[in-house]
Amino acid sequence: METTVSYGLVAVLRRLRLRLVAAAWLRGFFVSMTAAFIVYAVGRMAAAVPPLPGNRSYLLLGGSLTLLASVVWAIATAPDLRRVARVVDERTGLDPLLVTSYEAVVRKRASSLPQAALQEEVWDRLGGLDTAKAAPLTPPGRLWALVLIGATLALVPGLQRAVPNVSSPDPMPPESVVEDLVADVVSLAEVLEAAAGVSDYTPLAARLRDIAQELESGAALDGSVARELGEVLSAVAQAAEVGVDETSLALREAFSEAGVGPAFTEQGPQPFTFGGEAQPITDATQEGTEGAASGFDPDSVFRTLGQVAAALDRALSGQGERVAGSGDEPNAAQVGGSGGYYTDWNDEMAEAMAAKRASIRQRGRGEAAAGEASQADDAPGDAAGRGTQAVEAGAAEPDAAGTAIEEMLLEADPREGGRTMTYVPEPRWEQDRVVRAPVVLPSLVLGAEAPVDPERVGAEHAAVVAKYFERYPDTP
Amino acid sequence: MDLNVNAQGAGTTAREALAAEVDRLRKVKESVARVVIGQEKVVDEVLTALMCGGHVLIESAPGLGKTLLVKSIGTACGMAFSRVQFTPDLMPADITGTIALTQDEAGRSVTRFQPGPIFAQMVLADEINRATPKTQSALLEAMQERTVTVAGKRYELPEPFFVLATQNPIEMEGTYLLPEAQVDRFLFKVSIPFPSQDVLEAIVDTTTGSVTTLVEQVLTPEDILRVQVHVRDVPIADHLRSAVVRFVRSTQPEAAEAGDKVRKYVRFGVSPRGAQSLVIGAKAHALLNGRYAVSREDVYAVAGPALRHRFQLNYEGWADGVDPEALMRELLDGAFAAKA
Repeated sequence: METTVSYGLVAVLRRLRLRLVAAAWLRGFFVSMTAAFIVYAVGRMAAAVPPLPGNRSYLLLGGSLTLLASVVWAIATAPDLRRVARVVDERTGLDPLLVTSYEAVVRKRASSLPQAALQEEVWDRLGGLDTAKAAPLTPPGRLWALVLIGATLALVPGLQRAVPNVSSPDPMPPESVVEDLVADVVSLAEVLEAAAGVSDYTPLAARLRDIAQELESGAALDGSVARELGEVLSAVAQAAEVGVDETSLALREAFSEAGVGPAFTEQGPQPFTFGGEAQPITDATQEGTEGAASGFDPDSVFRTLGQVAAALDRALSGQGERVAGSGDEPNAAQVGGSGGYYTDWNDEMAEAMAAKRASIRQRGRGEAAAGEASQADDAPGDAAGRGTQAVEAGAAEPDAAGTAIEEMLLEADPREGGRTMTYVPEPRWEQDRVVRAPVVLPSLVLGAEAPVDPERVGAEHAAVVAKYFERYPDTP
Repeated sequence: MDLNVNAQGAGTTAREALAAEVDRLRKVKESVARVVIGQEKVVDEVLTALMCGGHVLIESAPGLGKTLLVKSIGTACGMAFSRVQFTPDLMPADITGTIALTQDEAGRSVTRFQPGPIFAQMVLADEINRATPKTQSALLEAMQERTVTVAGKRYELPEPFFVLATQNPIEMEGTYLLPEAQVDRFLFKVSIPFPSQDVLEAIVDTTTGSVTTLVEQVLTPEDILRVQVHVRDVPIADHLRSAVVRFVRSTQPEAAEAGDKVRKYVRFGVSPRGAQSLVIGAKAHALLNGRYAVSREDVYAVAGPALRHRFQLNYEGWADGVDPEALMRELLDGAFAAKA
């Protein structure tokens, strides 16, 4: 016999079941979250997973799985109405009125006096039922404590770092650490590239650039990266201890020959050194190299990068300032920063080297043109004028080819007595090291076959030259 | 009476009606307790058995008020009372009655059934273990069938019919122990403890003074019968019933559910009648305490009287000093703790 009491009882039980399912979902969510936290914390302790902030995709995936698991768990464990009645009975002290009453309703046995009295009793009790107590939606305190413990284990970086990393060689640091590391690596690479003019750090800079690019592209930051960084730092440290490498010395000699470069002073070529920064660089790199060599602690390697870069920057800047203070170009006003200074200095150096090469070539051309002139007009006094004419005639060829011609003053070979001569730079196609043989070779051949200008032979060599030519009677 | 309609409307009719019945039962308890001093638990158990329509076997030393208890309850319930003192020479006919040759109004000799003392609503079978098994079985058959067959003719016993048998656990010489199968027919086995100092002083005062306390009638036999119907209608939840059945099965030494202790110490476990006694006793206990559904506490409350004569330890159990009631409670705990 279906009655209002029966319908009411069933309706109440259905509402309670909804709350129980919701509570089960919440509980399951908390349990799953706690489990995820604990798994993550254990993973961090075992160095099997990277820190949280750098892995939003992991967070999203873990959260979704946790949510899904809790929903599935709540649905799978959704109780039937009889079970709901039992649970509410136990929680509210009604045991076992509600479940007994529900079973009587289901079996339609509520017609006897005790059973009717039971229905009334239950109906009255349900009116004052505390649903929050019967089916609480708030997870119990112990669950909160569990979640807090799990979250603490997972999120406190100190705890994670306190645990030695021995089991896994491939931990993933936070994203911010990677960004800082990339910035440090790039900074160090820039400093080394800026120093490339005075020392051959280009391979080290290139290696650092490669490492930075790998890190930016999301490559795993593992022990091999740390070791590679350690090797670079070792090389820098070695350079800091030596103070100068052979390559830079060779360059320095070239600069001195060209008469340019910040290290070329009145005292002659000065070796490039790290000055007072050598020891800080050595100290900073030592920690990193030791960290890299001791298995795995990339942080110790990474932390030193910024220090090394800064020390190098200071050392190179100091070198530039010392040079600027010696009175040579460029002066301190031209130094907009270490990178800018060395960029300007390098440009100047390159131009000087190109000019030196051009002067050597032009010397040959001039001699060739002089030979042509003497062949056309044997008057010795016209040699210089013809020579100059020949140079201008030679310069007309690239102009005819449409190439701009710029004039500049060049301090020529000191053996020529410091004469100032006008130099027309080689056309730009020649800068590409592509030599037009039909243009160059005839003048060179003519020059080689031209007679020696006696005026150009020094008095101390005249006897030797005369003796030489006397061996060939047919020579004019 | 459409109780559900009442439940929807006035809302308390069924409860009020049942509460009135329960109140009268409580008055019986109070009335009997004024005479049977210090035996409230015994009174409660006997009254529970009466509500169930079962019989009670009382085990106590002489002089502890068994007869007074039965008389008082009979009086309070308005039930006809009789007493049979069992002796070795007591014959079944002495209990059930016999065919007697008598004269009718016309003076002719006729045979007439002369009912025995068992034809009462409340029968005290005192020291039942002193009678021979044949006499005992005559009583027990009447208890079970609620009928008596004499000379091929079947006689219905009056309703309600309640037998309260006693036996003396001390003096065993010249007694005939009741077979287990017959003991099983008693719903409860109640032990009357020796009274405490205070209780005994109160008993002495009450029974040796000039003022005699009388028991007043509170119920009628019809009330008892109605209550017995109500008791059977008290619902029990499935999981509680299942727990009772699990418990009963767990007391069987041969059953798969039996534990090591049961296999080692139990001679025979609780019979199906024990399960019935437990459930119906729990129903009566719940109703007597104003509840309309059986709870676990009701089952535990009646487990002692309902099971102690149905659960026998073997020699090893007695030798090891196993307490059968403690073992039963342990098994009950296990049965209720197990998932339904």
